[in-house]
Amino acid sequence: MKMNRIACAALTAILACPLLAGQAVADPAQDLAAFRDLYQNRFPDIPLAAHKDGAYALDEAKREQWLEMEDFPPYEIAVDDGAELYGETFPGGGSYGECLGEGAPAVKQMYPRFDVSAGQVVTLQMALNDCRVKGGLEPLAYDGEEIAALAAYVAMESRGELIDFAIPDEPGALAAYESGKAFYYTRRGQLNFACSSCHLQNAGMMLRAERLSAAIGHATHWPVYRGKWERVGSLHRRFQECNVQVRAEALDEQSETYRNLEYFLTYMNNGMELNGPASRK
Amino acid sequence: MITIVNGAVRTLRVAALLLAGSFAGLANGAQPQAADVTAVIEQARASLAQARQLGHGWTVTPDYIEVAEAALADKRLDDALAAAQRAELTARQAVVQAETEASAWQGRVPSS
Repeated sequence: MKMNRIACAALTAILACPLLAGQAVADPAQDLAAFRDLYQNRFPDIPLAAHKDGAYALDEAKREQWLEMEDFPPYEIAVDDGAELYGETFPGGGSYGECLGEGAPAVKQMYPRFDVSAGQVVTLQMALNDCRVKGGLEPLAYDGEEIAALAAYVAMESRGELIDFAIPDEPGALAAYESGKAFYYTRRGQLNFACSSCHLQNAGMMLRAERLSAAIGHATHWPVYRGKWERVGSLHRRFQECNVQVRAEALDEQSETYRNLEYFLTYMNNGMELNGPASRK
Repeated sequence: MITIVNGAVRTLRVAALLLAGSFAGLANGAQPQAADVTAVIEQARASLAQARQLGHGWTVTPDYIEVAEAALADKRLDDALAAAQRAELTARQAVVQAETEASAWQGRVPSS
């Protein structure tokens, strides 16, 4: 009798979780399709494209406040600073525009990408620093305001471009994607939360006074001016903040783990429009 | 020989204190010695290093270690031992989390 009850409870638990009973062996395209389906089913009245505005796509009252703030966007100063930096000529010759290549400065949609020769994920911030070094300048600190300003300018110039890339059929690229995916779904910290605990499992719900945003728009709008930071900061800074909020030790900005996480997350945002820089509370 | 015996006694004593602290918050009335506290702090450091190696360090563990060391320096041994035990416990829990999550995360990936 007792065994029957246990078997019944186990069966109920399995049947109750069809959406999250996923398989990690799916390829990136299958992951993307399932990811999109999940949010489409969870929020049938909200077009997927609208999630580029994060929690403001899910909460009308907060959206109105945010749109009013956008009348005088707090990231504007960073964009101007970034434009000035971007316009400088390098001591060794050349410029960011020449270094970043075709389409510059509207190149945000090209990052992150997997550099086969380097065997690693390259982010926009890394590309900007790489340009500086090639031009005879010192690289900027990844947690500093100058790199954030440069990224904000490039993001502004890239507005309207689409995230549209495939994971190359190359073992290193797939390993980087899988590493980011594993990080995303792994619970960590004393509070035992995964990224997915908030932004997938509980997206749209309230966490104290905050509406939890959907992960599907998370890579479109960086860098971001956050009120609590009082400056523009990167997606990796937000990763750090999330980790610390669940009492997990954070990693350095541009660490391999965070770059792989950005790679996975950006792939999951395929088809969405870039709308950075943005402002958040 | 005496050193070995003393070491074994100290190890047993630390284990007993850890166990007592884990389940009863030091309600057994044992009077900790500075060497006991130091041993628990060392154990906490080792577990924290293991958790970090697995990518699962918790922010609270170094804080507890810091509190334990400060209390030890002030010779507040009960407070020091309590903080050291918390550090050791949280570090061990972080290791367990890492081991569990090594495969558990796969069950959270959405599938069509």
